[in-house]
Amino acid sequence: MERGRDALDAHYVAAYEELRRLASRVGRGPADRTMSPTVLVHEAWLKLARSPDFASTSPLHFKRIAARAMRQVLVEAARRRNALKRPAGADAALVAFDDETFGPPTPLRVLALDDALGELAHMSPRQAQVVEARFFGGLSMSEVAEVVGVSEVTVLRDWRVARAWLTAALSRA
Amino acid sequence: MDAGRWDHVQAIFHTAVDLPPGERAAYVTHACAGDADLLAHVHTLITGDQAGSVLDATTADVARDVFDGADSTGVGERIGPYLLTARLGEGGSGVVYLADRDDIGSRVAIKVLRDAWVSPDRRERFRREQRTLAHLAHPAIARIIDAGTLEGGTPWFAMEYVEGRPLDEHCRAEQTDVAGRLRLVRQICAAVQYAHGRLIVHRDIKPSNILVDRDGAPKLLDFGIARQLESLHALSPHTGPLRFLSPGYAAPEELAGAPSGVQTDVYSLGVVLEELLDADAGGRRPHSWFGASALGPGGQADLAVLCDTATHPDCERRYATAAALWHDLDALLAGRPLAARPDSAVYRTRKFIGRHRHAMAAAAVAIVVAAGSGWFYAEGLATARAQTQAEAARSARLLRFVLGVFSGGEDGAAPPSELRVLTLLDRSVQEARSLSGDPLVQAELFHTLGGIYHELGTLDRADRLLNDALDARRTHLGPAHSDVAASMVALASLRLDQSRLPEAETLVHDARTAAERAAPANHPVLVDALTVLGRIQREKGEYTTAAASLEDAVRRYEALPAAIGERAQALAALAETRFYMGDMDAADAVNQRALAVTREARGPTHPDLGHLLINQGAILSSRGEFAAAERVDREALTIFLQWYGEAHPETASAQTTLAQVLGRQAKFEEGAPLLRRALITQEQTYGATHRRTAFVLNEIGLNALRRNDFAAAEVAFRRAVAGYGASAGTHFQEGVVLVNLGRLHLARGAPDDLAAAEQALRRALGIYAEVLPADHVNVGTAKSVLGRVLLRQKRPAEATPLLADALRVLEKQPGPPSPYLTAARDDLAAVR
Repeated sequence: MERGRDALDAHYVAAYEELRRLASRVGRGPADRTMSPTVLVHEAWLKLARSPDFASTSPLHFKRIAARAMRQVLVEAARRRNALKRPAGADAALVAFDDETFGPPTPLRVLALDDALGELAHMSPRQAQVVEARFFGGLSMSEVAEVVGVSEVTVLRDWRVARAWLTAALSRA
Repeated sequence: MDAGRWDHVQAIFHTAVDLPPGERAAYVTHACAGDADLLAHVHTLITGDQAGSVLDATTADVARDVFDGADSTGVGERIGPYLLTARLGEGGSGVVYLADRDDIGSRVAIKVLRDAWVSPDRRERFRREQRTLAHLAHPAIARIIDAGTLEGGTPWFAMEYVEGRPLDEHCRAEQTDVAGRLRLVRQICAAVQYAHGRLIVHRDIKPSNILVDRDGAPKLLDFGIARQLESLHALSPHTGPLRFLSPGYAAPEELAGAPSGVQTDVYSLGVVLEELLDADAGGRRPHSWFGASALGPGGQADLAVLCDTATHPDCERRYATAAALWHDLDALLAGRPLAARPDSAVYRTRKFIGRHRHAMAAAAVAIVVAAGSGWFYAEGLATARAQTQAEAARSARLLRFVLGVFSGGEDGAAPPSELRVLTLLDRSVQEARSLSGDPLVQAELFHTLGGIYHELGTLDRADRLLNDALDARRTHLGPAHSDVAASMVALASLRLDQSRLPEAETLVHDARTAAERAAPANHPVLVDALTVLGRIQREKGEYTTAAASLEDAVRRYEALPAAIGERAQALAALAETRFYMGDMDAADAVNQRALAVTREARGPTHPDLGHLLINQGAILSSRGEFAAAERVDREALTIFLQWYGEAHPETASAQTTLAQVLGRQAKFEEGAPLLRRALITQEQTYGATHRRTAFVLNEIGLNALRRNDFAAAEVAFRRAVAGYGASAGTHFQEGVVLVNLGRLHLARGAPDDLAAAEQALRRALGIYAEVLPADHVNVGTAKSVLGRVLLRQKRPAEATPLLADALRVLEKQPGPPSPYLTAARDDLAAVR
């Protein structure tokens, strides 16, 4: 994915800073957490909304752009992270999801997801947008509905099928 | 898979997953109707739907995992000559490591920009922090030691390593008492003020950014989001600063997105202080504050006022500078009264800003407009544009600075001699001089700054600036323009105060010509010109024409509602003119109007109101209405006390006036303490031999004389005479004191006293002969007293011509006959 870095640089930096802050505030397991990740993500969005870099965008446009910027940052960070360390699944410490006991480290999966998402966008641009806003942007379903411009019921259906398709695609990879 | 096929797959999937698991297989097989590929797709989806997925992770978890361990540097690695030995922490942009330099055995803290790849902008911001630190050398600010760039472009810098604990932890662990806590914050205030003096705001002051070292010395860290004040005004939305503030410490206006500055840091300092006091008590202030009871009840109340003032949501009511907070912390520690009392510095500052707001706003608009139009004009020309940007940034910085000067805490309200105000103003002027790219913006600033210098009494500086503004405006606007006229009026007003009346008159005349050709007849500058003309005429003693000019000006101001302040001043000048003309009824009526308009324009506590009330007292006294005069003089004194405080010359002058009117009602005991207080103030302000000190001494002498305390009266009068004698020039007041001294000796009546009285009175007459006309009332009075002294000395032949002169002069005076006239008449009758 080629990004228009020049135009988006400021958005990109703002998204980076918030994600970094988010990353440093979220603990390794439920016991470490003083605040739920949902609350932390919500705070990050509030700060992004106040950032002068997004001042000129409409609230709707802002969420769309910011979610895109967050995806770009996470994917780029994953790419760098991946290049830095050996991409083997051996480093158990990197497997962080509670419901997973085995699998490739998150950075690799993020990269794979990014690729698969590109493929999904060919079949349904709207569903790709839903995933971007929900997964990379951390927006609630109702916010995603607002960003994408469809009903919440439609978003729930889109999410479910996109999640199923992407999960299957990732397990093939 | 194409979109149509995908729709089909989805439809079957959704129906299937809504069914109970037992019915799914049958439905799917049926729905796919033998299409094996379709069936495979649907099966894959259903499997995916039931499997755990990376997509179930929250964004926060994903962010943690992709950033975790992504740093290219770490403990055990080398940066330049330093070996990273431990990770100390991470800030918004970088990671901080403890590092050793083996070759010289020194220990530093190294900050490395994290994820330098993100953008050039972040690298630039990191380098800006580095440059910011390089500008700061203060014992309470961790200083920069070294800097460089890693392979791959990651910048880093090494700072002084502060081996200590965060401020709050330190206070908790050491059980620092309340005074100790106040002193720690005070030291940080000094550091912040130092940075502000270099136009750097920290913007992220919080306990974790303040470390206290082993010796108990605090150090301010992390200028990561600090800003040079020049960049605070984001001139383009795309280059605006990113704000990653710590919400609990960020000022309300900053959270609301307003430009952050000096006062934002002050707010954060206030929150840090409150938290330090709250920290252990865990309760709410004021009574449960940590150790606050050690300050005593007054100290506790002061501490509450101090904290409230530091953290006031309205930044106009907050301490205007870190220095102001610092000084009040000092005052609190020393048990002195705070400046942050409603009747004091902060309050006065607000009033001062209020008075200048009009001019400030004008300058602000001029700068913004000029910067904007310059930008527009230069667009498309790369070099010119860069210059314009620089110019605009400078304008914004300058504006910010000028405004900062006048919201500058005690500075704004300080007496004109206060060095700091003038120093800051001088710096503003230097900034203004660098704005040569936009001469009209520069002229506007010169005009404004010149006006402020004029008001502060620094006439030579005002002179240069106003002249420069006028020259620039003439050059760029031509001779006929309202701004040119405004410059001339400002200069005329200055010439008036320099007693250069002919020049002032010429300037007013030229201003009117310039404005009449360029502006409508009701333009405010024409009315301003008329007011200055009236004041010039009054100064020349042409009271009738002065009154006509000022009346005309007042009428015209009435049609300009925004000029209510100017109208109030014109009315005040008119009332004084009527008073000098001896037209007490007219003076009374106009002064009442001036009072009403000033109340409306300036509020009920402004010193302008105090001056008008003093004038009202003089009018009432001249009519013999002393009780009414006493009332208004007391009102004036209350205003001055509230505005200037006890130890201010204006207050001292009002106390003296009140004592005079009390004396006229024989309330000498009431007047005496007022005079003693006024004397202390004037001695402290002007010295023991200044004529203003001498003036109070004369009143003290009279007060003592009337209480028959001859010894005290003699001391006071003799000190007053010495005071006038030591000050430059000849003052008829010295004659007045000498006459009073003569009256004192006459009242004692011993032969030595009569000789001393004669000597004093003859000296008085010598002074009068120099400075007063021969038929002045004071000459008559002195001759009347000297005549009586000579009669007591049995020298009737010498007394007779003096008494005859006195009679002739005093009979011509308007109003009821003075006691000296009666005395001269009686004595003359006795001799004949």
